[in-house]
Amino acid sequence: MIKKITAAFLLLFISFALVCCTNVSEDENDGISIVTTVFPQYDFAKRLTEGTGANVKMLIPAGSEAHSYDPTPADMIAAAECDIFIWVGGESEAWADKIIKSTVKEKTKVIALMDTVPLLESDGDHDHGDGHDYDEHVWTSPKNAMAMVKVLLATLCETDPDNAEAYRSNSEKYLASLEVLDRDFTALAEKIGKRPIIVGDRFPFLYLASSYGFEFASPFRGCSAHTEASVAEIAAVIEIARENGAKTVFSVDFSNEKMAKSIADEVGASVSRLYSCHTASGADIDAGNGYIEIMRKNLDALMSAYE
Amino acid sequence: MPQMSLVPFWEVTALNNIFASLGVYFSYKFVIFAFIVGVLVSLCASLLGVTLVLRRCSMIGDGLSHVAFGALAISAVLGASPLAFSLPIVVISAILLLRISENSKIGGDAAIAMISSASVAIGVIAISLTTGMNSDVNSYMFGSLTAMEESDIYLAIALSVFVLIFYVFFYNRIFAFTFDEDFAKAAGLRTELYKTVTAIITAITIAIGMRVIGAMLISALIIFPALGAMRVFRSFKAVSICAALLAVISASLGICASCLWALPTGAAIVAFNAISFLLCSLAGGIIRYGR
Amino acid sequence: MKNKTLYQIECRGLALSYEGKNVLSNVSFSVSAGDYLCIVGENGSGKSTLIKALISLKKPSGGEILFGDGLSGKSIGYLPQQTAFKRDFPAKVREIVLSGCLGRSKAHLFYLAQDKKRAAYAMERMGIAELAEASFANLSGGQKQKVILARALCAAEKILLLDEPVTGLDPTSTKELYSLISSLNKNDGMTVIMVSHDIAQSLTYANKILHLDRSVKFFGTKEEYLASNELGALLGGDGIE
Repeated sequence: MIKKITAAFLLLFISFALVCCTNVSEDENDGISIVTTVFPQYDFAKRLTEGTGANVKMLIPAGSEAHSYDPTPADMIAAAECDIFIWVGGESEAWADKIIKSTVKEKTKVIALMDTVPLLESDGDHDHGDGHDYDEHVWTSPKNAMAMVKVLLATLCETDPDNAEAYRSNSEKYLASLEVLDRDFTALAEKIGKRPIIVGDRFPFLYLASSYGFEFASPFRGCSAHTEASVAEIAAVIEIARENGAKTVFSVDFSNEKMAKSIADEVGASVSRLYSCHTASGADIDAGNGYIEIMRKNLDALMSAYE
Repeated sequence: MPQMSLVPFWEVTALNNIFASLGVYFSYKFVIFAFIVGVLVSLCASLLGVTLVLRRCSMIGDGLSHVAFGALAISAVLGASPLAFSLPIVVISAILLLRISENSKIGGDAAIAMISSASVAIGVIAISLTTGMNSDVNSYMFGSLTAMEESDIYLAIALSVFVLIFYVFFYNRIFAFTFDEDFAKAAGLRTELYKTVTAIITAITIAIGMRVIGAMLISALIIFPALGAMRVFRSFKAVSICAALLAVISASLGICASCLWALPTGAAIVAFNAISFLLCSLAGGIIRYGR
Repeated sequence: MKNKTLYQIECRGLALSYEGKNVLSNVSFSVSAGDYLCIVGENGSGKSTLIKALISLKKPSGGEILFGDGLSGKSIGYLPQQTAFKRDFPAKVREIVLSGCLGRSKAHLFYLAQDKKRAAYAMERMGIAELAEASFANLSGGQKQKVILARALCAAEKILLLDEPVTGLDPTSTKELYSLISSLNKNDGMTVIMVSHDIAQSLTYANKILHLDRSVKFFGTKEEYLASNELGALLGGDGIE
């Protein structure tokens, strides 16, 4: 009996030690360390800190669902050690809020993306206490992305003045690319005009729509993974699709496309995919695709749908 | 946000509006698909439920729905076709559960609890290691109206035809072995075969119906109609017919309610099952009091 | 008259085990047409296991069971112990009695006219014909047993196997049932094998006794049993349940 207990304890101890050891921080780099929750700011940070030896880490694994994440002990440690912590700042990242309040040190600069741009209410009919239900997907508009990059630049220069030159030149290049994207989306909006874009899925593109004046129709009012669209809402979108002779119904990444297919079947359209950039797939990250490349995929998809 | 061209919720209560609205809803394919599968699965589950409940085996429905959840979760991770992947797994589990519960070392209940919780745990781990708890997982747990495709309809029809044929043509044998398994076996009935067939059909019903009704709720379809019918009727034949009717009516009303009042489909169907059970209990009480 | 040496059932050196443990060993006895055999013994003596073996619900681990007279395990009319029934089971008496004909209608999915006649006869014989449409759950204990006995009668070709048929019944019903069984034995020529805890009644009606205690303690005629030691041992201990 004693032997068994000792063996169990030894096993526990060894595994604990192993877990701790594997998290010895990766700051072999001499640059600053940045920790982000989701993909857009991870990508911005990577581009801006190119060549400075900075260490950028994204907490939510590639390809994972961003709206319901549980931080691991490793995440807590990474957040504690970093110089800049960038989160979105909304309710679906309540776990990040906890990290900030408990683990993050005084010296760490915290950036909430939702603090950098004007917010839009997500139109939902559930009130959360103070009555404001803001849509969190603030990065979907390239205009907002530019604002975020500027804030990040300022923070980087403040935190690490030695590399300020590099940061500035990187950000100039990046902002230029963002401006091209911005112009292309403006052109797209002119081409599409008032024709509604049919999204048979959850709807993270409020800011994109608002920035460029796109009309969208979706059975969902936001991205909450926990509400189901009612039949009436789905039917309403079908009607809109019919009235406008829509040829394409869009689905959003990381869903099973079933709803989009149902709507498309009903109106004789085809299904195409849009990417929210909330997280990126492993394939995208390996290929070096970032925010701009993924938004360009969206641009192309929308372009060909409204030929 | 799009303007609704349909009647808003608070005006739907007028009867004309109800029928008009339903007419509109049922012009959509996905609603028809969900309706057909929901009703047929409820029918099969209720007939199976009569024999399962009376043989005190109804927990197997719960156990299998948990296994189905785990299997669907893993199929989502692997990117495999949900039904093609989960169906064989659920069927095999059904047979396994049967064999284990006959081994008296581990009782039937304990066996079911073990396999259920292990399946859910494996499913959750698989999901969290890869994509995280997303809307897919939610729809497996609670059902989703748009989950059905045309192929699912044919499957559901084939299943129902089989179950009806099985129940009608083998009615006497089903009765005998439900009432008294030992006696039936002594009379030469292959009770093991019947138990296995029942378990397999239950597994298939659950695998098919789970995506509309949800893993958490589908075992209710096995239990409620049978119990409700037993409150009112006293012969096996009457109970079987009544259970089937209760199931079909509850499913139909549930789906209509889901359309009209934006209720989640699976929950609406189960709610109507519960209501019909209460009504039957009431009716049964009145009949008995009147005697 | 039947040739008395023509056995209907004969057990030779039968051994039965349950989960690897030996429950019965070296059981040998025989039953002829028209016999009324009572199987007695304390709880745990293997009576129920033996019954299960006779109706092919359990495979012997040794020895053999032979059926003569063109019979088989399936042509025995079986009355299981009362605990096997669900008290609230929704079923009509007629449905239950008819289910006894299952063994006969193997090739047919539905009951034939002859099955229905057989069931009607059985119900009349048991005096429950007027209860045919009644619900099983509403019957008294005695009536329920009559229904189950009627079912056994339907299933039986020549042998009835009754496992503690009167447990839990009141004295009147007990008497009724015993006289029904006896009448089936004497008037209809049914062979009766009965497991019973009721020694007194067993001795009244039986013509042969089989006393089990993991093996055969006694097998022979009633008279021989009365004269033997085994009965004293059974009564002397607290075997009566």
